[in-house]
Amino acid sequence: MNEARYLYCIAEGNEKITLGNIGIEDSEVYTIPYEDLGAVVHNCLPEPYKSEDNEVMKKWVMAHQKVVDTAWERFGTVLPLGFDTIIKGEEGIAPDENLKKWLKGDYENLTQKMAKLKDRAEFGVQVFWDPKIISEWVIEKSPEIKKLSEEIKSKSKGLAYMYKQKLENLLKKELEKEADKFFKVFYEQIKSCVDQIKVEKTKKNEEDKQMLLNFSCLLFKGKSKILGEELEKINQLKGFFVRFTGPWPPYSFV
Amino acid sequence: MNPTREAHATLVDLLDRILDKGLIINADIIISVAGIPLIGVNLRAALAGMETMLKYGVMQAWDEKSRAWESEHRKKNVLSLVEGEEIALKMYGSYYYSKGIYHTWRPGYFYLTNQRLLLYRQDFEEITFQISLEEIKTLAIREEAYLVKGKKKQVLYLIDKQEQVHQLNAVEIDQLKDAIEQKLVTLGLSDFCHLISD
Repeated sequence: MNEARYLYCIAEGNEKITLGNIGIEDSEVYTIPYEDLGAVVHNCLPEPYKSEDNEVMKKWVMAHQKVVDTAWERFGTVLPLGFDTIIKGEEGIAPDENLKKWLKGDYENLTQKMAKLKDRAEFGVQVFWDPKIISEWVIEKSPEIKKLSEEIKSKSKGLAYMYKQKLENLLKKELEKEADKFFKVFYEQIKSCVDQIKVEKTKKNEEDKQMLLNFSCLLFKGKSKILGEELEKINQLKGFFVRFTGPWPPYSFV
Repeated sequence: MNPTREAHATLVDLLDRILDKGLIINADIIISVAGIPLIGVNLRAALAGMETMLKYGVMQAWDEKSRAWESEHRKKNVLSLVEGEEIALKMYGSYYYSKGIYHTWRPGYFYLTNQRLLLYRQDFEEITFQISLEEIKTLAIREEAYLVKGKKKQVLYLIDKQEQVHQLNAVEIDQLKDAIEQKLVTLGLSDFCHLISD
Protein backbone atom coordinates (compact mmCIF):
# COMPACT_ATOMS: atom_id res chain seq x y z
CA MET A 1 0.00 0.00 0.00
CA ASN A 2 2.19 2.86 -1.11
CA GLU A 3 -0.55 5.02 -2.55
CA ALA A 4 -2.66 7.61 -0.84
CA ARG A 5 -4.63 10.73 -1.78
CA TYR A 6 -3.95 14.16 -0.44
CA LEU A 7 -7.38 15.78 -0.16
CA TYR A 8 -7.69 19.53 -0.69
CA CYS A 9 -11.40 20.05 -0.81
CA ILE A 10 -14.73 18.65 -1.90
CA ALA A 11 -16.10 20.57 -4.87
CA GLU A 12 -19.52 20.92 -6.35
CA GLY A 13 -20.09 19.05 -9.63
CA ASN A 14 -19.03 15.68 -10.91
CA GLU A 15 -16.60 16.60 -13.65
CA LYS A 16 -13.57 14.38 -13.82
CA ILE A 17 -10.81 16.80 -14.72
CA THR A 18 -7.26 17.71 -13.97
CA LEU A 19 -6.31 21.13 -12.65
CA GLY A 20 -2.68 20.75 -13.65
CA ASN A 21 0.49 20.52 -11.61
CA ILE A 22 -0.54 23.12 -9.07
CA GLY A 23 -0.41 20.99 -5.95
CA ILE A 24 2.08 20.60 -3.14
CA GLU A 25 5.53 19.94 -4.63
CA ASP A 26 4.01 20.54 -8.09
CA SER A 27 1.84 17.43 -7.87
CA GLU A 28 -0.87 16.99 -10.42
CA VAL A 29 -4.23 17.86 -8.95
CA TYR A 30 -7.37 16.17 -10.27
CA THR A 31 -10.90 15.33 -9.23
CA ILE A 32 -12.42 12.03 -8.18
CA PRO A 33 -16.16 12.36 -8.77
CA TYR A 34 -18.88 10.76 -6.71
CA GLU A 35 -22.51 11.55 -7.58
CA ASP A 36 -22.53 15.34 -7.87
CA LEU A 37 -19.49 15.87 -5.72
CA GLY A 38 -15.84 15.86 -6.67
CA ALA A 39 -12.90 15.26 -4.37
CA VAL A 40 -9.93 17.43 -5.33
CA VAL A 41 -6.77 15.40 -4.71
CA HIS A 42 -3.26 14.54 -5.68
CA ASN A 43 -1.50 11.19 -5.46
CA CYS A 44 0.95 10.88 -2.63
CA LEU A 45 2.65 8.48 -0.31
CA PRO A 46 0.72 7.42 2.77
CA GLU A 47 2.68 9.70 5.04
CA PRO A 48 2.14 13.26 6.13
CA TYR A 49 3.93 16.25 4.73
CA LYS A 50 6.09 17.57 7.47
CA SER A 51 9.27 19.53 7.61
CA GLU A 52 11.42 21.20 10.20
CA ASP A 53 12.01 23.98 7.73
CA ASN A 54 9.42 26.69 8.13
CA GLU A 55 10.01 27.97 4.62
CA VAL A 56 9.15 24.56 3.22
CA MET A 57 6.06 24.29 5.39
CA LYS A 58 5.03 27.76 4.31
CA LYS A 59 5.40 26.81 0.67
CA TRP A 60 3.26 23.73 1.17
CA VAL A 61 0.56 25.63 3.03
CA MET A 62 0.52 28.23 0.26
CA ALA A 63 0.26 25.50 -2.37
CA HIS A 64 -2.64 23.95 -0.46
CA GLN A 65 -4.38 27.28 -0.40
CA LYS A 66 -3.75 27.85 -4.09
CA VAL A 67 -5.38 24.56 -5.02
CA VAL A 68 -8.43 25.25 -2.86
CA ASP A 69 -8.68 28.71 -4.43
CA THR A 70 -8.39 27.36 -7.96
CA ALA A 71 -11.04 24.72 -7.31
CA TRP A 72 -13.22 27.33 -5.66
CA GLU A 73 -13.05 29.53 -8.70
CA ARG A 74 -13.51 26.64 -11.08
CA PHE A 75 -16.41 24.86 -9.33
CA GLY A 76 -18.15 27.67 -7.48
CA THR A 77 -18.59 25.98 -4.13
CA VAL A 78 -16.06 24.00 -2.15
CA LEU A 79 -15.79 22.41 1.28
CA PRO A 80 -12.13 22.98 2.13
CA LEU A 81 -10.06 20.61 4.22
CA GLY A 82 -7.23 21.46 6.51
CA PHE A 83 -3.59 20.97 5.63
CA ASP A 84 -2.29 17.39 5.52
CA THR A 85 -5.55 15.49 5.20
CA ILE A 86 -4.46 12.28 3.52
CA ILE A 87 -6.77 9.41 2.66
CA LYS A 88 -5.07 6.05 3.00
CA GLY A 89 -5.84 2.70 1.53
CA GLU A 90 -6.13 -0.49 3.49
CA GLU A 91 -5.41 -4.12 2.92
CA GLY A 92 -7.27 -4.85 -0.28
CA ILE A 93 -8.94 -1.43 -0.44
CA ALA A 94 -7.58 1.30 -2.68
CA PRO A 95 -7.51 4.84 -1.30
CA ASP A 96 -10.00 5.94 -3.95
CA GLU A 97 -12.42 3.34 -2.70
CA ASN A 98 -12.00 4.54 0.85
CA LEU A 99 -12.58 8.08 -0.31
CA LYS A 100 -15.75 7.17 -2.18
CA LYS A 101 -16.99 5.13 0.73
CA TRP A 102 -16.66 8.19 2.89
CA LEU A 103 -18.35 10.44 0.31
CA LYS A 104 -21.19 7.94 0.12
CA GLY A 105 -21.58 7.62 3.87
CA ASP A 106 -21.44 11.36 4.46
CA TYR A 107 -23.20 12.34 1.28
CA GLU A 108 -26.27 13.93 2.82
CA ASN A 109 -24.28 15.93 5.31
CA LEU A 110 -21.88 17.08 2.61
CA THR A 111 -24.54 18.17 0.15
CA GLN A 112 -26.37 20.05 2.89
CA LYS A 113 -23.21 21.93 3.74
CA MET A 114 -22.58 22.56 0.09
CA ALA A 115 -26.04 24.12 -0.29
CA LYS A 116 -25.47 26.36 2.73
CA LEU A 117 -22.16 27.56 1.37
CA LYS A 118 -23.23 28.06 -2.20
CA ASP A 119 -21.93 31.34 -3.60
CA ARG A 120 -20.67 32.37 -0.22
CA ALA A 121 -17.26 33.35 0.99
CA GLU A 122 -15.63 33.78 4.34
CA PHE A 123 -14.21 37.07 5.58
CA GLY A 124 -12.08 37.72 8.60
CA VAL A 125 -12.89 40.74 10.75
CA GLN A 126 -10.70 41.84 13.60
CA VAL A 127 -11.14 45.02 15.56
CA PHE A 128 -8.28 46.41 17.62
CA TRP A 129 -8.00 49.37 19.88
CA ASP A 130 -5.10 51.38 21.09
CA PRO A 131 -5.25 51.08 24.87
CA LYS A 132 -3.39 54.36 25.32
CA ILE A 133 -5.84 56.42 23.33
CA ILE A 134 -8.80 54.63 24.85
CA SER A 135 -7.41 55.08 28.37
CA GLU A 136 -7.10 58.81 27.86
CA TRP A 137 -10.65 58.90 26.73
CA VAL A 138 -11.83 56.80 29.67
CA ILE A 139 -9.98 59.04 32.13
CA GLU A 140 -11.63 62.12 30.63
CA LYS A 141 -15.01 60.53 30.80
CA SER A 142 -14.97 59.11 34.32
CA PRO A 143 -15.09 61.78 37.03
CA GLU A 144 -13.72 59.39 39.65
CA ILE A 145 -10.64 58.45 37.64
CA LYS A 146 -10.08 62.00 36.50
CA LYS A 147 -10.16 63.28 40.06
CA LEU A 148 -7.72 60.60 41.14
CA SER A 149 -5.30 61.35 38.31
CA GLU A 150 -5.40 65.06 39.27
CA GLU A 151 -4.73 64.28 42.91
CA ILE A 152 -1.63 62.22 42.15
CA LYS A 153 0.20 65.32 41.01
CA SER A 154 0.11 66.87 44.49
CA LYS A 155 1.18 63.75 46.39
CA SER A 156 4.55 62.79 47.74
CA LYS A 157 6.48 60.11 45.89
CA GLY A 158 5.36 57.22 48.08
CA LEU A 159 1.75 58.25 48.16
CA ALA A 160 1.76 58.92 44.46
CA TYR A 161 2.82 55.34 43.92
CA MET A 162 -0.11 54.04 45.96
CA TYR A 163 -2.45 56.33 44.09
CA LYS A 164 -1.06 55.21 40.80
CA GLN A 165 -1.76 51.61 41.59
CA LYS A 166 -5.27 52.44 42.60
CA LEU A 167 -5.72 54.43 39.44
CA GLU A 168 -4.42 51.63 37.27
CA ASN A 169 -6.79 49.12 38.82
CA LEU A 170 -9.72 51.41 38.33
CA LEU A 171 -8.69 52.11 34.77
CA LYS A 172 -8.31 48.43 34.01
CA LYS A 173 -11.80 47.70 35.27
CA GLU A 174 -13.19 50.59 33.30
CA LEU A 175 -11.42 49.44 30.14
CA GLU A 176 -12.83 45.94 30.52
CA LYS A 177 -16.29 47.40 30.84
CA GLU A 178 -15.78 49.48 27.72
CA ALA A 179 -14.40 46.51 25.80
CA ASP A 180 -17.48 44.55 26.71
CA LYS A 181 -19.74 47.33 25.60
CA PHE A 182 -17.97 47.85 22.30
CA PHE A 183 -17.88 44.14 21.62
CA LYS A 184 -21.65 43.95 21.90
CA VAL A 185 -22.23 47.01 19.74
CA PHE A 186 -19.80 45.90 17.03
CA TYR A 187 -21.12 42.35 17.09
CA GLU A 188 -24.64 43.52 16.36
CA GLN A 189 -23.42 46.00 13.78
CA ILE A 190 -21.41 43.37 11.90
CA LYS A 191 -23.91 40.57 12.32
CA SER A 192 -26.57 42.63 10.59
CA CYS A 193 -24.58 42.64 7.33
CA VAL A 194 -23.50 39.00 7.16
CA ASP A 195 -25.05 35.61 6.68
CA GLN A 196 -23.35 33.83 9.53
CA ILE A 197 -20.93 35.01 12.14
CA LYS A 198 -18.50 33.07 14.25
CA VAL A 199 -16.72 34.44 17.27
CA GLU A 200 -13.08 33.39 17.23
CA LYS A 201 -10.53 33.59 19.99
CA THR A 202 -8.75 36.89 20.20
CA LYS A 203 -5.02 36.81 19.81
CA LYS A 204 -2.34 37.92 22.14
CA ASN A 205 -2.12 41.64 22.59
CA GLU A 206 0.52 43.84 21.21
CA GLU A 207 1.46 46.85 23.19
CA ASP A 208 -0.20 49.56 21.16
CA LYS A 209 -2.88 47.38 19.68
CA GLN A 210 -5.23 45.12 21.56
CA MET A 211 -7.51 42.75 19.73
CA LEU A 212 -11.01 43.47 20.86
CA LEU A 213 -12.81 40.98 18.69
CA ASN A 214 -12.08 38.36 16.08
CA PHE A 215 -14.89 37.16 13.84
CA SER A 216 -15.21 34.88 10.86
CA CYS A 217 -18.11 36.00 8.72
CA LEU A 218 -19.90 34.18 5.96
CA LEU A 219 -21.59 36.17 3.24
CA PHE A 220 -22.42 36.15 -0.43
CA LYS A 221 -19.39 36.42 -2.66
CA GLY A 222 -19.18 39.93 -3.99
CA LYS A 223 -21.51 41.24 -1.31
CA SER A 224 -18.83 42.44 1.01
CA LYS A 225 -19.47 46.09 0.24
CA ILE A 226 -22.05 46.69 2.93
CA LEU A 227 -19.88 44.98 5.51
CA GLY A 228 -16.93 47.03 4.31
CA GLU A 229 -18.86 50.25 4.80
CA GLU A 230 -19.90 49.26 8.28
CA LEU A 231 -16.31 48.36 9.16
CA GLU A 232 -15.11 51.67 7.78
CA LYS A 233 -17.32 53.40 10.33
CA ILE A 234 -15.61 51.48 13.12
CA ASN A 235 -12.21 52.15 11.60
CA GLN A 236 -12.95 55.88 11.68
CA LEU A 237 -13.48 55.90 15.44
CA LYS A 238 -10.53 57.38 17.26
CA GLY A 239 -8.25 54.69 18.66
CA PHE A 240 -9.85 51.83 16.74
CA PHE A 241 -8.45 49.81 13.84
CA VAL A 242 -10.14 47.21 11.71
CA ARG A 243 -8.54 44.34 9.82
CA PHE A 244 -10.70 43.02 7.07
CA THR A 245 -9.43 39.97 5.20
CA GLY A 246 -10.83 37.72 2.54
CA PRO A 247 -12.51 36.42 0.57
CA TRP A 248 -11.45 33.05 1.95
CA PRO A 249 -12.87 29.67 1.07
CA PRO A 250 -15.31 28.89 3.90
CA TYR A 251 -12.85 27.10 6.19
CA SER A 252 -14.65 28.16 9.35
CA PHE A 253 -18.10 27.13 8.23
CA VAL A 254 -17.71 23.50 7.24
CA MET B 1 -13.24 49.55 3.39
CA ASN B 2 -12.18 46.68 1.17
CA PRO B 3 -11.12 43.25 2.31
CA THR B 4 -7.51 42.30 1.71
CA ARG B 5 -5.91 39.02 0.89
CA GLU B 6 -2.47 40.24 0.10
CA ALA B 7 -0.31 37.17 0.63
CA HIS B 8 2.23 38.56 3.01
CA ALA B 9 -0.05 40.60 5.21
CA THR B 10 -2.59 37.87 5.70
CA LEU B 11 -0.35 34.87 6.15
CA VAL B 12 -1.40 34.45 9.75
CA ASP B 13 -5.06 34.62 8.83
CA LEU B 14 -4.45 31.98 6.20
CA LEU B 15 -2.62 29.70 8.61
CA ASP B 16 -5.37 30.09 11.19
CA ARG B 17 -7.75 28.68 8.68
CA ILE B 18 -5.72 26.01 6.95
CA LEU B 19 -4.12 24.56 10.04
CA ASP B 20 -7.03 24.57 12.46
CA LYS B 21 -10.14 24.47 10.38
CA GLY B 22 -11.74 22.83 7.41
CA LEU B 23 -13.91 19.80 7.01
CA ILE B 24 -13.38 16.99 9.49
CA ILE B 25 -13.16 13.41 8.28
CA ASN B 26 -13.61 10.43 10.54
CA ALA B 27 -10.24 9.19 11.54
CA ASP B 28 -10.15 5.66 10.22
CA ILE B 29 -9.52 6.51 6.59
CA ILE B 30 -7.08 9.33 7.02
CA ILE B 31 -3.48 9.23 7.98
CA SER B 32 -3.37 10.58 11.45
CA VAL B 33 -0.25 11.88 13.00
CA ALA B 34 -0.12 13.21 16.45
CA GLY B 35 2.68 15.52 15.45
CA ILE B 36 0.84 17.48 12.83
CA PRO B 37 -1.06 20.00 14.86
CA LEU B 38 2.15 20.66 16.69
CA ILE B 39 4.02 21.44 13.51
CA GLY B 40 1.24 23.78 12.60
CA VAL B 41 1.46 25.57 15.89
CA ASN B 42 5.21 25.91 15.71
CA LEU B 43 5.11 27.16 12.19
CA ARG B 44 2.49 29.67 13.04
CA ALA B 45 4.24 30.84 16.13
CA ALA B 46 7.42 31.31 14.20
CA LEU B 47 5.80 33.12 11.31
CA ALA B 48 3.42 35.17 13.39
CA GLY B 49 6.23 36.15 15.67
CA MET B 50 8.46 37.32 12.90
CA GLU B 51 5.67 39.04 11.06
CA THR B 52 4.50 40.96 14.07
CA MET B 53 7.94 41.91 15.14
CA LEU B 54 8.97 43.02 11.70
CA LYS B 55 5.76 44.93 11.28
CA TYR B 56 6.50 46.98 14.32
CA GLY B 57 10.13 47.29 13.46
CA VAL B 58 11.06 45.82 16.80
CA MET B 59 13.30 43.19 15.42
CA GLN B 60 14.62 44.77 12.32
CA ALA B 61 17.18 47.11 13.75
CA TRP B 62 18.08 44.81 16.56
CA ASP B 63 18.22 41.84 14.30
CA GLU B 64 20.40 43.49 11.70
CA LYS B 65 22.69 44.90 14.32
CA SER B 66 23.11 41.68 16.18
CA ARG B 67 23.63 39.75 13.00
CA ALA B 68 26.26 42.16 11.84
CA TRP B 69 27.97 42.02 15.20
CA GLU B 70 27.82 38.28 15.29
CA SER B 71 29.18 37.78 11.81
CA GLU B 72 31.95 40.30 12.40
CA HIS B 73 32.70 38.64 15.67
CA ARG B 74 32.83 35.21 14.15
CA LYS B 75 35.09 36.31 11.38
CA LYS B 76 37.57 37.83 13.77
CA ASN B 77 37.59 35.11 16.28
CA VAL B 78 38.28 32.00 14.37
CA LEU B 79 40.98 30.20 16.19
CA SER B 80 44.07 30.15 14.05
CA LEU B 81 45.67 26.78 13.71
CA VAL B 82 49.11 25.78 12.59
CA GLU B 83 49.45 24.15 9.23
CA GLY B 84 48.45 20.52 9.34
CA GLU B 85 46.73 20.97 12.65
CA GLU B 86 43.26 19.45 12.96
CA ILE B 87 40.67 19.90 15.66
CA ALA B 88 39.59 16.59 17.18
CA LEU B 89 37.40 17.89 19.96
CA LYS B 90 35.90 21.15 21.11
CA MET B 91 34.39 21.36 24.55
CA TYR B 92 33.34 24.08 26.92
CA GLY B 93 35.36 24.16 30.10
CA SER B 94 37.68 26.18 32.30
CA TYR B 95 41.24 26.40 33.44
CA TYR B 96 42.46 27.19 36.90
CA TYR B 97 44.66 30.22 36.75
CA SER B 98 46.63 31.49 39.67
CA LYS B 99 49.24 34.13 40.13
CA GLY B 100 50.19 35.35 43.53
CA ILE B 101 47.06 35.84 45.54
CA TYR B 102 44.95 36.02 42.39
CA HIS B 103 43.38 32.80 41.33
CA THR B 104 40.35 31.96 39.28
CA TRP B 105 38.77 29.51 36.89
CA ARG B 106 38.93 30.96 33.42
CA PRO B 107 36.22 29.69 31.11
CA GLY B 108 36.51 29.07 27.42
CA TYR B 109 36.56 26.31 24.86
CA PHE B 110 39.03 23.47 25.01
CA TYR B 111 40.33 22.51 21.64
CA LEU B 112 42.09 19.23 21.29
CA THR B 113 44.08 19.02 18.08
CA ASN B 114 46.59 16.54 16.80
CA GLN B 115 49.32 18.78 18.19
CA ARG B 116 48.11 20.49 21.32
CA LEU B 117 45.44 21.05 23.89
CA LEU B 118 44.36 24.62 24.38
CA LEU B 119 41.71 26.72 26.03
CA TYR B 120 40.47 29.52 23.84
CA ARG B 121 38.45 32.49 24.96
CA GLN B 122 36.55 33.66 21.95
CA ASP B 123 35.39 36.99 23.34
CA PHE B 124 38.93 38.05 24.10
CA GLU B 125 40.60 36.21 21.25
CA GLU B 126 42.87 34.83 23.83
CA ILE B 127 44.48 31.47 24.33
CA THR B 128 44.38 31.12 28.08
CA PHE B 129 46.16 27.86 28.29
CA GLN B 130 47.91 25.59 25.89
CA ILE B 131 50.16 22.65 25.99
CA SER B 132 51.79 20.59 23.32
CA LEU B 133 50.67 16.99 23.46
CA GLU B 134 54.27 15.90 23.70
CA GLU B 135 54.56 17.82 26.96
CA ILE B 136 51.79 15.93 28.70
CA LYS B 137 53.07 13.52 31.25
CA THR B 138 49.96 12.34 32.95
CA LEU B 139 46.26 12.96 33.52
CA ALA B 140 44.04 12.22 36.47
CA ILE B 141 40.55 13.10 37.55
CA ARG B 142 39.85 13.92 41.15
CA GLU B 143 36.70 14.84 42.93
CA GLU B 144 36.96 17.95 44.97
CA ALA B 145 34.74 19.95 47.23
CA TYR B 146 32.95 22.64 45.33
CA LEU B 147 32.34 26.19 46.44
CA VAL B 148 28.84 25.20 47.33
CA LYS B 149 28.89 23.04 50.41
CA GLY B 150 28.17 19.40 49.87
CA LYS B 151 28.63 19.60 46.13
CA LYS B 152 31.49 17.86 44.43
CA LYS B 153 33.32 19.07 41.42
CA GLN B 154 35.47 16.93 39.19
CA VAL B 155 38.83 18.34 38.27
CA LEU B 156 41.15 17.03 35.64
CA TYR B 157 44.76 17.25 36.75
CA LEU B 158 47.25 17.50 33.98
CA ILE B 159 50.90 17.14 34.85
CA ASP B 160 53.44 18.16 32.27
CA LYS B 161 56.94 16.93 31.81
CA GLN B 162 58.26 19.84 33.85
CA GLU B 163 56.21 18.43 36.73
CA GLN B 164 53.92 21.42 36.60
CA VAL B 165 50.35 20.72 37.65
CA HIS B 166 47.43 22.20 35.71
CA GLN B 167 43.83 21.99 36.79
CA LEU B 168 41.14 21.77 34.16
CA ASN B 169 37.40 21.47 34.23
CA ALA B 170 35.04 20.64 31.37
CA VAL B 171 31.44 19.89 30.64
CA GLU B 172 32.22 16.23 30.00
CA ILE B 173 35.41 15.79 31.86
CA ASP B 174 35.73 12.03 31.30
CA GLN B 175 35.22 12.51 27.62
CA LEU B 176 37.90 15.15 27.49
CA LYS B 177 40.34 12.94 29.36
CA ASP B 178 39.59 9.95 27.15
CA ALA B 179 40.00 12.02 24.02
CA ILE B 180 43.37 13.36 25.12
CA GLU B 181 44.58 9.89 26.08
CA GLN B 182 43.39 8.45 22.82
CA LYS B 183 45.21 11.17 20.94
CA LEU B 184 48.36 10.40 22.88
CA VAL B 185 48.05 6.72 22.07
CA THR B 186 47.53 7.30 18.36
CA LEU B 187 50.46 9.66 18.29
CA GLY B 188 52.63 7.14 20.11
CA LEU B 189 53.14 9.50 23.04
CA SER B 190 51.46 7.40 25.61
CA ASP B 191 54.46 5.46 26.91
CA PHE B 192 53.49 5.50 30.50
CA CYS B 193 50.68 7.91 30.93
CA HIS B 194 47.89 5.39 30.72
CA LEU B 195 49.50 3.45 33.56
CA ILE B 196 49.10 6.18 36.09
CA SER B 197 46.21 8.00 34.58
CA ASP B 198 43.73 7.16 37.29
